[in-house]
Amino acid sequence: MVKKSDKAIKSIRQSRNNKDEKKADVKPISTDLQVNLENIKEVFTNCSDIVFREFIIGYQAPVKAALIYVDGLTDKASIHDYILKSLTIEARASKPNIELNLDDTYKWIEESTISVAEKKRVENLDDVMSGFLSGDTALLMDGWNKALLIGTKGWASRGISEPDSEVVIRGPREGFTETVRINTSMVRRRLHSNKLKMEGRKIGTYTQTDVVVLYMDGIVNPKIVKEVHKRLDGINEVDSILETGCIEQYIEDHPYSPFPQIQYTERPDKVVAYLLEGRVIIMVDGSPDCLIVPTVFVQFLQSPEDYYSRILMSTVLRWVRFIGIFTAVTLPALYIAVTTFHQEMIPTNLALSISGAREGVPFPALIEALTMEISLELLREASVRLPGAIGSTLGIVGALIVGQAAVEAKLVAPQMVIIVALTAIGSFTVPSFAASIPLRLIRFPLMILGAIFGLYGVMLGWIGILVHMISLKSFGYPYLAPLAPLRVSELKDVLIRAPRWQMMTAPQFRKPTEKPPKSFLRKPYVKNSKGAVKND
Amino acid sequence: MIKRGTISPRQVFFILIMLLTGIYILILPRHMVTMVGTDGWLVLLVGGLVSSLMLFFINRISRKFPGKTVVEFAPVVMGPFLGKILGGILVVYYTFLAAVSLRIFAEMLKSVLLSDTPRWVVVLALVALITWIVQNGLEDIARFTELLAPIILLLLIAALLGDLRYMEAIRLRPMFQTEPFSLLEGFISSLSYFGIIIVLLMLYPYVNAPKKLTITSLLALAFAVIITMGFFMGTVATFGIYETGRMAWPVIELVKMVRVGEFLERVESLFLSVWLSIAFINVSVLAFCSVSGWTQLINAENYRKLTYPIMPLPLILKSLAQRFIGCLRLIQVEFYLWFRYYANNTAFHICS
Amino acid sequence: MSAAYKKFLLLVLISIIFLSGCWDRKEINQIGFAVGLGIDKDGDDYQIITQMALPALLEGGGGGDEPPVWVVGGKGRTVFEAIRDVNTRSARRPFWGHLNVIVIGEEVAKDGLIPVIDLLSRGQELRRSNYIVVAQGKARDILQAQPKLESINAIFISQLIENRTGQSVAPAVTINDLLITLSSSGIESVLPRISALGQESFLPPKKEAGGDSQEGEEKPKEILELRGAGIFKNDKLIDWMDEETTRGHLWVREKVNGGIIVVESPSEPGTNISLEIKSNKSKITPRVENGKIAIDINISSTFNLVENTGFVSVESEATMQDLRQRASEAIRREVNKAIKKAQENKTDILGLGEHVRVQYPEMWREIQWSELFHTVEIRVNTEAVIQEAAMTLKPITPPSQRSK
Repeated sequence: MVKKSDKAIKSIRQSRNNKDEKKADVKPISTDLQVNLENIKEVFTNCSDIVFREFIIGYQAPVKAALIYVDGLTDKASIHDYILKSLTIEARASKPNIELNLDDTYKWIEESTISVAEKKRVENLDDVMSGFLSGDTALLMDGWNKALLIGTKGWASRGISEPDSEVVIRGPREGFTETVRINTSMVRRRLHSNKLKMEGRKIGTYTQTDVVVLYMDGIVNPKIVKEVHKRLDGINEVDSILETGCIEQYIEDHPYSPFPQIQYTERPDKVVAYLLEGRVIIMVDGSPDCLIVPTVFVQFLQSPEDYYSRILMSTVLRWVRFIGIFTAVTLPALYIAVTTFHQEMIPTNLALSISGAREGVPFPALIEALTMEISLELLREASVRLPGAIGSTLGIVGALIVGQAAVEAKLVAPQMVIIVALTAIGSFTVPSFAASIPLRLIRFPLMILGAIFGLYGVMLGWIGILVHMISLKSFGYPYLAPLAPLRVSELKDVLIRAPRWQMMTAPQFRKPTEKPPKSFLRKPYVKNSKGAVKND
Repeated sequence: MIKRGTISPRQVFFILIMLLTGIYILILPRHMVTMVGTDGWLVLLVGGLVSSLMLFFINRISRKFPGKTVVEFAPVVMGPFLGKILGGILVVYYTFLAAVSLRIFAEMLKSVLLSDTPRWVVVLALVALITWIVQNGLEDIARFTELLAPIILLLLIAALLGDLRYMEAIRLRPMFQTEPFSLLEGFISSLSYFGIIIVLLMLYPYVNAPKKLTITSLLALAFAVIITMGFFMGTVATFGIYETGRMAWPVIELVKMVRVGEFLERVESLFLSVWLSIAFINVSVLAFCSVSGWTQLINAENYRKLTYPIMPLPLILKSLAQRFIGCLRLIQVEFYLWFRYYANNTAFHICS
Repeated sequence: MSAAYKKFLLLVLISIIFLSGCWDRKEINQIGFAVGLGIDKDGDDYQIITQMALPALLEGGGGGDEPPVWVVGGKGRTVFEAIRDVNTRSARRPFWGHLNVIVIGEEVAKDGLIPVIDLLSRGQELRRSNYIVVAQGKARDILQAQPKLESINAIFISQLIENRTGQSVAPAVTINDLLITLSSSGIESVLPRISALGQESFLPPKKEAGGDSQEGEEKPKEILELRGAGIFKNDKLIDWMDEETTRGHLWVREKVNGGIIVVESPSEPGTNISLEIKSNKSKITPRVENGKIAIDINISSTFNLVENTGFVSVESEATMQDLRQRASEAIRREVNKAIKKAQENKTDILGLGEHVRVQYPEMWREIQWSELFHTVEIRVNTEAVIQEAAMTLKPITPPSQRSK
């Protein structure tokens, strides 16, 4: 039976790929209901969740009909109340005005009896099958070589809850769910604009996953939308799309780079903000994360909260994150370089105390640091996999007990424990988890370089990182964008977080022609010299 | 073919500053002091002024042939044969300059920071990175420069300010005591020092707004002259002319004196990392000019392939230098200077 | 970038990692921190004493009376040989990056500094901002003394130099300063004098601290004193200055950094007033009169009135005027002492020649300053400003003395 469903899939695939040859390959709907049902049943043998319900419409000229739907994917109440009830009981009671021929009957049934909002007429069996597989109910009638797909999608899904990975203190608490329609609705609810476009498509030969591309018409640079569609078209042959991560890998520019070139988020407010900056959002059914393209590196350092809390605080917090990143990447390497190459840099007393603490430590600083950093990574990975309470216990056990014991056993110097702890803390300041992973990774080569060449090596490593990051592009946009190439006017959202009324100048992803009105640059409510508030 | 019109005048500004201050600033104070004593600042100022004249000509001639590098337009101006020869000279000059800059840097690194590390390892690591960025193209080099140059410049100025407390104005005097001939010698030296701006001839077609370049390049030159003068005067005011003349790397000695509060006692290693970025930028730009120049000279399609034979040059240069010039690095530097000077003169002649 | 190149790059990086002996690596606990360096002469040989810190002892919080330093010496025909000689006795390679102070023995100083200082200016580990002092007697005695407060003697000395503000009776000289004065024409070198004293001489002798420091006792000395300075001609030590003369020298060099001047109270003879030095400025103007060089030194300084041992206030304008007069007189006395000392020794430690060189470069080329210096006429002009009277405005006046 697997083979048989394979066949069905293959035909579906072909139906999508070769749209021109559609008629030749696609199985048409027969006028004989039984033939149709048998054809479908043959494809779906041993699929216990598919329900075939045969019944008769009307009594003047009774029409044999069948409903096909997937149990669990459909809203049963609406099938009962608005399809079956309408077609059987209510249709029998109501009498059409005119004498109907057969065609008009079908038309009458389609237009007047089914009290469900969404419906679609399809003309071949493949569309019927993919229709009910995605949760609609298919209505086939004897003598009619067409079929109706009635929108009855409805399945158990997770409620809207706060995203765990992007916690904010101030700002909306809701996050996306696994259902793409709910997600788009959450965006639409925040953006009542006819400019918001959502283009849907299906990807994945087996999974037939809904993928929606969102953008603001008129703000977005049309080139990006075109590029997104081009890249999405390129992944048609894939079997399954289970999560946005699968799409990300297919469409990103440099898959082998440690740095993520596409950001994902679970927060609708963030999505709206990015849409208004002229970016394109890709949503995938079955995943609460949606992709944001193009992405630049500094985005990973911006939390939506920055824009909700006060200006000064956000600016300071940004700098805290810069320091955090620098610490997470460089601190162990710097420590190794300074203590094994440039002892003259540290004040005499500190140098002596480090030297004293290292007295009896058998390993060179590099090995010492590597051991500690690797055990830190072990701990981190272990505590991520464990359920909440145990996870935090493990963290404490690891940090306190193991660290303490290692110092007492003279395996590491206490200073090294401090350095490693600071590294970990630094990497936690990055708001995006996806960006903190590469930062954790690249500190290892830096440590090795630091142990070979000292500060020269650390700098060499940094130059290498920068050369790599500068060469990265995300959908044609330079990855380090407002920094390199330098765009001074955009630094106001990188080095500082400027007041909102100053942020209205053209974002980099806007359409090239788009120029914002000058008045955007002024604070809308300005106190004039007499102290009265005036609306500008 | 390399895509043209991709870098902005601001990026050129930073590239020029980096080239003009560059590696040679490490030994410039000693060089100037031995020739002209305390009058080095004057010589640098005049050299800068004359160089600005040269800059004007570079801008003018490049504007006449938009979208063309000097290697491409030289045959148009001077006839195919002479033009090729001139292009060849310039390209050799860029190549040589790239190699020697790297060499000076490695020399400094060896004598100050990594005395036991074999030189080839140090150079190889750097050359690998430079090859990488040259492969990525001028656009990336320009972005890298733009990203780091402001930080580098700030740190350089901070180093000068950090030494302010050791400086004494009396060590800068008496002024105007140098004999005319030494003055001329120093002037030529400073001219050849600033003459590196002829790199602009290669960069011109890659700039997206060439009209702005005249102002930009003049500003860059002015800025570089100020920084160089600052370092010259700072060094002399800290050490006096006699001591400056004795030092192998006067600017490094200057930086050695800096002390950041009670926190960092000696930051010279930190500043050497700064100089690493300067060296990286310098050599990358020069190597790019050289590689793309060779490509245009032999009408090759893809400059990337040429990177491989050219980049190991500094490594080969070492043995060449040892064999023919002896391992005296000072002679090399002298040679380098004169080479710069002659090449600049040639460029000057074509322009006028 | 082509894949082949990526592979090549990777190969190079990996090979560097595996080939690396980490050439310049020196683990911090495998180097010996030489914090102090003393140079003495033993016959024709140089004898050096290095003071190495013992981090283990420092960390342990002190193991009894044992100081956390280890003093080890070496001998050689040159200083460098002597330093390498130390290596044969030290398991850890001495690291000079944290050198705090260099103590030059009196004998070495008398024989000339250049053979010693050359190495110090070349070494890349050493910093030019290191302090250098000249010992009265042997450098060894200084480095073996065991002062309190700081467990490491060399750090004690360097802090002594940095905190010399109390009196301004010794200059602070770094290697850089010394190298500059040694190489410049028109200025001669001065080094602060350090001496080790026993506990019994707790109150330091009032004048000329020299002489009686060799008492022949075994116990290491406990007091280190930085006072006065040695004056050099070219690179050779030729004489000592006492503290007043030293300050006179510092006045001219504009290097007075705190200190007290005690003058008699103008309003009440027999009582004294202490003035704290706040700032000083000196302006040296060489002039040529009738083909002869004369030099004007103008010194102006600001004082705080910090102590009045008498009963009578000095607030009135007349007494203040008088007080200013006395203060400037005191400065003039000190400066004149320094000038006299310098001219007697025919060595221009005041750096007056430098100003002549700058002002009259043509003339400078013709004269022989070291021959001329002691004959030059030097006029000193001093001026004192007294600012505020610390926290209290009036002196303590017992009721019987108060005028109603």
